[in-house]
Amino acid sequence: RFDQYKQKTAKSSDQNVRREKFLAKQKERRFNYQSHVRCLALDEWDSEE
Amino acid sequence: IACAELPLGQWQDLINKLVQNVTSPESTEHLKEAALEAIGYICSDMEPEHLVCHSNEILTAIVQGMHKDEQSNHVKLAAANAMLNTLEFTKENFESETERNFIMQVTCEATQVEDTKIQVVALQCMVKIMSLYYKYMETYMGPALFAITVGAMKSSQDEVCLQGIEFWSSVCEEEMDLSIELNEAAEAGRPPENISKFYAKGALQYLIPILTSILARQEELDDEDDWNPSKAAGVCLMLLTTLCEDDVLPLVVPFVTEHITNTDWRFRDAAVMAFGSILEGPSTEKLTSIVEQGMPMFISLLKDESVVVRDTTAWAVGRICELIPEAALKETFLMPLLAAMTESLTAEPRVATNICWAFSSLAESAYDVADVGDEDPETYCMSQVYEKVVEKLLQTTDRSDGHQNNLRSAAYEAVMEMIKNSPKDCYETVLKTTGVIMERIHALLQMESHIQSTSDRSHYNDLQSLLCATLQSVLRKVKEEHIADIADNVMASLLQMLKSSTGSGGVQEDALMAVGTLTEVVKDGFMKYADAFKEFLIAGLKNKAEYQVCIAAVGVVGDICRAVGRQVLPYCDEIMTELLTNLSDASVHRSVKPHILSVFGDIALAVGGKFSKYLDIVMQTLQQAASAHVDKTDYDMVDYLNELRESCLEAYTGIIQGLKGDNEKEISEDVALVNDHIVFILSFIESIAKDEDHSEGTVAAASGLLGDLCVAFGPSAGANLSKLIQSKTAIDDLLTEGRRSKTSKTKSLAIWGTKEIRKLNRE
Repeated sequence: RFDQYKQKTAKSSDQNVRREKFLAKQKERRFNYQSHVRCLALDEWDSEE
Repeated sequence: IACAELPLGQWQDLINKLVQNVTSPESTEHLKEAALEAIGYICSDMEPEHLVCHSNEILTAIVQGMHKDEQSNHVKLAAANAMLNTLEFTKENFESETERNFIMQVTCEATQVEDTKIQVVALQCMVKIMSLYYKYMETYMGPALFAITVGAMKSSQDEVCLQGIEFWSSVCEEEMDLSIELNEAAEAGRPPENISKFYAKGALQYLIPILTSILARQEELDDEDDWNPSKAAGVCLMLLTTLCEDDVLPLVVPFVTEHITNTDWRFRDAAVMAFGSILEGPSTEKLTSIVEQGMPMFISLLKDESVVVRDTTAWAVGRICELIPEAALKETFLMPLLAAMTESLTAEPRVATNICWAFSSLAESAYDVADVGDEDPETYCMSQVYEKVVEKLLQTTDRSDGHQNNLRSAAYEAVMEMIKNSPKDCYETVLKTTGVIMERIHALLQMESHIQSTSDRSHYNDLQSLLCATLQSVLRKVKEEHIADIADNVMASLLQMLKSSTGSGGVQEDALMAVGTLTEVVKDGFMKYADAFKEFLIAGLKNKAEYQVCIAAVGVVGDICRAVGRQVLPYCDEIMTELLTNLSDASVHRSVKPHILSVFGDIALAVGGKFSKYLDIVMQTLQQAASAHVDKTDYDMVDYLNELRESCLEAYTGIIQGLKGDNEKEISEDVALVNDHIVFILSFIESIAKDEDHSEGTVAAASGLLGDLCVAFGPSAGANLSKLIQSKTAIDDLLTEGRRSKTSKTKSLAIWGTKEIRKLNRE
């Protein structure tokens, strides 16, 4: 309960939050790179539908 | 001793003896008390599974000890404490109506004894019973629980009052879970297992006046680490609002209006606190008009004579900026608000910290409103004061009292958010800030030799981490033509940080992440730093003890691969050796392993056919990882298995794409090296498909890999591949699930994978 009092959203000054965001971004970079190799950017897939 | 022996099936008569000591008419008060205390300790420390078989006897003793006929308060208190510890494993007793009635009766009676200690524990039991056995509470709520807990909330004894409030906070959390369960069930088209009785909603009109009056019971000199009814009431009001939404507004808003100008600071503070607590849950439409009415008042309260009121106002302003930014960004209020906020950055640390947080939220909202798509917007509503705000925030990071209330971190965080969310016309300030950050890093690194105490060292490390994080936010914004001017300097500083930070995993991790961000912006320009960086990368990969550092180092390998492509080749042997060593080392933290598997894919994709020399060992490793099994009753392990599998899928994708080569017209022969593994890969995907606990991430990655297989092997082995895929019907179900996903990435990959399979079938 104590943590809920005057609670603030944790952002990038907390190392755990920073790490989580960075790893998520890294994963996204990998995904984008693999998509690029597939020569199929997401938008193109959508427009094919 | 009981905790050591009972789980091994020894000392079987212990519980019986303790129970007899409580129930025997010959037992003295002391003996009863001691026996109940022993039962309480055993129940609190032992795994419930070992006690379930004794639950009847234990309850008999406790209920007798708590009963109103028991004359001794010592015995009653020991019994109530023991009751609190047994509730987790008395599920069967709660299922029986007669036993439940009896337990509820003695607990309710115990809340009414005069002794405060007993009252408090009995109320704690009630809180726990409510969250564990919510579904059975309907019979007791109206006739007993409501009156008892409301009575407790009105008590002048803080401990009793706190339990009364806690009861309703627990009801809110329970009913929020039930509301989520109801939505999930509705989405899945089935009835929910448990349903809400909306107790909180029903009690709202009685609870809110009590809570708002308790809000005004603040301590004169509040110790921030103390918990008291006023703070508990604030939290309870917030939970009630999240749950009951619009219904709360007519009950709270009049209190705010009435007391916000009260001459007593306690009531002004209570009014602001009440207001700040109702900003999440109700409809934005209703809240916006209420917040807009209050804005001028809040702006002026930032300068209130009471520090408590200034602090609560700063917090409430932060909540407004985060939850109802429309009101804060409205033209009429924005400039006066920003002026008041900027001024408050020099207030007491606790106030300034809240203001920094408000700036972080406001920066993001202002940017979102101006957002035009992929590029930064030309300008936004904070442009005209942007430079001044960033300057003030940078000054705040430097305050000598910045270590108090987390002020320094909050100020750096606000700088990061301001930079990240900046439009084009503020670029000059971004560039200037880059200079400031670089200067600070230099100055800090010079100071290292002067560090004497452990606390100096810890501040020094925290500051390095924060500067690294801020550096990343500016690097992401600096234009390509300006990157070259600063990259050498940035890399030199990061290398120095890595060199001097041995012993601080936190700093090393942040520095490695900053290197990752730098590779992203300088691309193959990173090659000129590769030799100098290698030793720190290898040291990071070898850092088993601080596994987060190891994960960051593994991640940087992937970043470098994407940035420099084939040029990474000369470093691969050494990197691969470290990665493979870590995988086979049982002392390396398990969370590192999925990252390593994924990075195999990154390396393969970067070096193409040259990956063939590692192929045998990597494929063998992947096969091993893909065949892993875990204890399905452990949720963490189920998550881990999904993570591991997703990494295997990413690795297979990287390897196949890499070996296939980047010539669209001609597929490289190297890809044939994977031929022998296709059957296993498809069985692996099939096993994921059949696993009902598979994650969204595995569905996406498996769909992509299926497409990759079709593209790479279609021309050489199309018919066989097609037959093989068709023979595994679960794969078709997996693709269907992916196509129906709400996540666009999964959906797109599943649609693409399906199309590639269809193409194969046609050919």
